[in-house]
Amino acid sequence: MHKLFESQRDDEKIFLVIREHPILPALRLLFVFGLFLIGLAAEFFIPRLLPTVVNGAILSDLSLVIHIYYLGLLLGALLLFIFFYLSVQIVTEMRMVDVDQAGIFRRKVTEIQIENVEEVTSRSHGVLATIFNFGDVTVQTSSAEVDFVFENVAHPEEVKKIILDIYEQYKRLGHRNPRPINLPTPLT
Amino acid sequence: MFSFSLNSVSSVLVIIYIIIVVFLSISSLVALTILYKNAEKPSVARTVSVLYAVLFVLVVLLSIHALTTI
Repeated sequence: MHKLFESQRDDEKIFLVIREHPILPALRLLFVFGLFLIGLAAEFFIPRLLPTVVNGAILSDLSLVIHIYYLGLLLGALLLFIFFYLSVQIVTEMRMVDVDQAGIFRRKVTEIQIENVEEVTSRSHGVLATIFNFGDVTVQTSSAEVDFVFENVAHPEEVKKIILDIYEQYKRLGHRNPRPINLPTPLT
Repeated sequence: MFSFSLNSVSSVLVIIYIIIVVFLSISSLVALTILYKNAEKPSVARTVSVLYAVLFVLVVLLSIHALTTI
């Protein structure tokens, strides 16, 4: 079985695998696409608007520079996707894991036990967040150092409810219960 | 096939272009390796890699084509 994080046990049930709401990376990719269109427009219009200046060798140079620009944008889009896809929050029957891919060589994995959860709050603010129903879910823990913040996740209210349900089940059924009962369908 | 006159394009720019393409290729390989290593679903990593490789090669070929036809 493929493991979602290093320390995942073989019998550990996963209830939530949460990422940022897809609208946000989609907007970032749209921005990259806008930059691509600017390059395309430059390639098309500059030789036509300045035919006496941009011709011959300069036209070749311009074409080369614009193609380098396209390759840079392509890599930028790939990195945006990687940061989105690899930054993930996982809620299992016994813990929460926050995997933060902040750079190519910057990956932070934080985890807390479900039993340390003290308070869960969800917050949604802004026009986009209201329209597309996403927001932050903050999990306060008994440890003073670690507070979990699930940023810009879809359906924050439901995520909060699921975490609280798992916590309740965990408290009620004990540490080594194989599987909590009556949990809602996992969101992805 | 892809021969072009260095008189028509600044030779320095062509060298810079080659260096940048090599740098971007290595960066892309590193990024895709990290994606493969940590992806929840290998099929997603595979699809993205293929798509990226096709687009990358396409842009490089188009730039070479642009150079040869200008």
